[in-house]
Amino acid sequence: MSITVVGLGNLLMGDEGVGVHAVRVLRERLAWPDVTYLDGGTLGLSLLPYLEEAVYLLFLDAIRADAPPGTVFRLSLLDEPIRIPLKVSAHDIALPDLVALLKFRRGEALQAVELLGVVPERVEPSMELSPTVQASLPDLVSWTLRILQAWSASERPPREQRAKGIGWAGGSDVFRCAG
Amino acid sequence: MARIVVDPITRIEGHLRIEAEVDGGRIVRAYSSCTMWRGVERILIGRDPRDAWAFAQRICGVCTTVHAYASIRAVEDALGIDVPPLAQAFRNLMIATQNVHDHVMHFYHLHALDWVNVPNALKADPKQTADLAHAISDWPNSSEAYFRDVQSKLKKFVESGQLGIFDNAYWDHPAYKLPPEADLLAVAHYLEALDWQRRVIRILTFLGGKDPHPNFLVGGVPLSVNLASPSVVNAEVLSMIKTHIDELKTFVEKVYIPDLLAIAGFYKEWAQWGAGVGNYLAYGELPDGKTNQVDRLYLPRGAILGRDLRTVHDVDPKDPEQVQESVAHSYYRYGRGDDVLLHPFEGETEPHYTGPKPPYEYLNVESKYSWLKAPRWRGHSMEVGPLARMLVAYAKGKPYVKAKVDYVLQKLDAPLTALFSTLGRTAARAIEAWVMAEYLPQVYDRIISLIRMGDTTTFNALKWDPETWPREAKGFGYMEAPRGALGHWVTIRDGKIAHYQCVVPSTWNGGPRDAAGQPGPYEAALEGTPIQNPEAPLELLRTVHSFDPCMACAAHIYDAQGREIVRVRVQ
Repeated sequence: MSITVVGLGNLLMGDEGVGVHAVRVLRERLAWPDVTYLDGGTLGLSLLPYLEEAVYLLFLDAIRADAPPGTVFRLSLLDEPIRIPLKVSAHDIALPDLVALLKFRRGEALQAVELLGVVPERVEPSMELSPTVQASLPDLVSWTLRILQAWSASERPPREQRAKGIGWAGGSDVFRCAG
Repeated sequence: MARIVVDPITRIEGHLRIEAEVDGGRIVRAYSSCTMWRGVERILIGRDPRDAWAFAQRICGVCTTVHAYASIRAVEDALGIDVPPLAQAFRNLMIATQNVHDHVMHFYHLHALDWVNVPNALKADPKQTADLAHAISDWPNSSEAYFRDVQSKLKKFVESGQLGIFDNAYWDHPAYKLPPEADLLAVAHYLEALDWQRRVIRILTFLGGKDPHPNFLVGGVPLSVNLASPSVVNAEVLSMIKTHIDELKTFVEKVYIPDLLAIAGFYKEWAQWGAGVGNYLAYGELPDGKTNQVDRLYLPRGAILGRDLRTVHDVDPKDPEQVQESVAHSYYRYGRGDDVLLHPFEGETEPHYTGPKPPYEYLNVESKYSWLKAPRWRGHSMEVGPLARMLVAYAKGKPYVKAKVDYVLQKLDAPLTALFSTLGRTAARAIEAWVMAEYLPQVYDRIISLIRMGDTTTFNALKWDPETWPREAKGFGYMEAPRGALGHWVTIRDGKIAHYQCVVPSTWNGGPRDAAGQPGPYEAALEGTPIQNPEAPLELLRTVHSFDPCMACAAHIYDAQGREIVRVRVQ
């Protein structure tokens, strides 16, 4: 079994880099032998080769949602058909594209793809997280722990246990991580 | 007159936005705008110059390596640090590998969808596709059964409602002209390029470390070489690198170049559109001697004006009269007034947003309209990128470039002037990948011969200690990024960074008009581009994509609800 946890975001843009900050914390706090942590930055499609061995994939990133800054969301990215819109630049290639390509190439071998997203407060040139988003890091760690434990037990959470919440493109499983 | 607006709307801070006025089926005027302020250079002020690369490589997500190299070269130039020959060769190997990697990915995974109609591939006859494949190349993956398999995989994907990666282009657009067999061939190679990428990236991970963000070192490379030791760059690692270099080269020769020729053959009319400013700038790349020995750059430095290949002008990026930036139409304010042009050593980055409050309908193009400055070389608007590099090398008579340019032109039965176009830009990128693919075994051999001679030094520690530095020093670091000339200008004072400016390729190509009203390269290239249907401006995207734009460098937040990323609006 292979689990990869990827932090995404730009470290120079304040809260936009929360995923990378989180992965740096997790590397220390949850150093499990079968878990690979990756600082994915904003590499886009170039990340693909680093993800293709994974059976379970967890992304950590900033996410825009109608919720207060610091709120943590959990989204399942595997089950939903993903429509990738037209690109203006190679740099527009983002997470949904990566997941679509992985699904196309890996098929059934890919067991789970989840995203933990944090609503940012400040996206502007800075190496620091805002206090609000900084305060959400413990939440992020504990949610990561839960997900990794579930995966390590080689069980996906049963579908019915996944709460229905804010729609990711209307219908996939998105829910706000509380407590 | 219709006005087309192409704008990625969901990423919070915005990206490249193009507004184009269409009249009589053609674009008559275009405006290129970057809708986000970056200003990340400010983060570097006060830092240790030896660490600057680690911040610089985060400036742009996809281009980490290039910013890191420009940064360490700028610091080395300022402090007078020479890089040992073996370190220089390793750097060149990584730079050339990265270049080929990016060009292949750009061609197959972004630009190809402008020319290749993916759903149409389902109509292809696999037997005829195999015939086509055999006619253009002896690449082994070319049997009827192979293409049948790719087609059925694609069919399954499409029928499951998961067109995903291939969705959302203008598939019904009449400007798609390939026969279904060529479409299927290209789809097969789209997928093969992903496998190829995995192996190519291993070259970079062997040398840069497992993490996707490699390590760099002012004064050399963070590698130690010992043929017999298990934990450093040893004989086994070098032999794996050689295997991957050979694979990389074969793919370029047997897949990328034949595909380019086959596809371009159906789109020759694109040699008449998209030329743009007709001025080209290259800082040069792959120093076979010392970093600043300009006459020993494998890809030479120079400027071409007005498409005149008889004269290549010398370029000195440190000359205050040459590279300069205008903010007349950019959301910045210069202390001495917005009509002046400033060299990057004197550059100011004082934001001054005067545009409409978002969300807005249109940019105020009479006034300031972009967060990009408008760089100029001796006052001229310059295109940078593979086409500029190939033209400068061609005009300088470099045989390893000239032969390949002539070969491609002859195969397409096109004159030299065909290069000044959207098609020429796309062809030049493939030609450059080919030049680089042939350079790689050469630089590999150089690495081996240096090691055999016992020259295994990879780091020059002479000026590592800040005690050895002058009180103030200024330096320029060049880098030919895959998408064009990148420059970093650094001022070091009392051991810390006092001033830092980057002029990135997409600022040269995607910048707005200047004080004299001269358009930037995207803006100029779009003028005259035909638009059959303003609601589906495929032709506009072809020309913009031919530059390999890089605007989304900083923020990439996606949206939990909205899916539509690019909005095309027509008035």
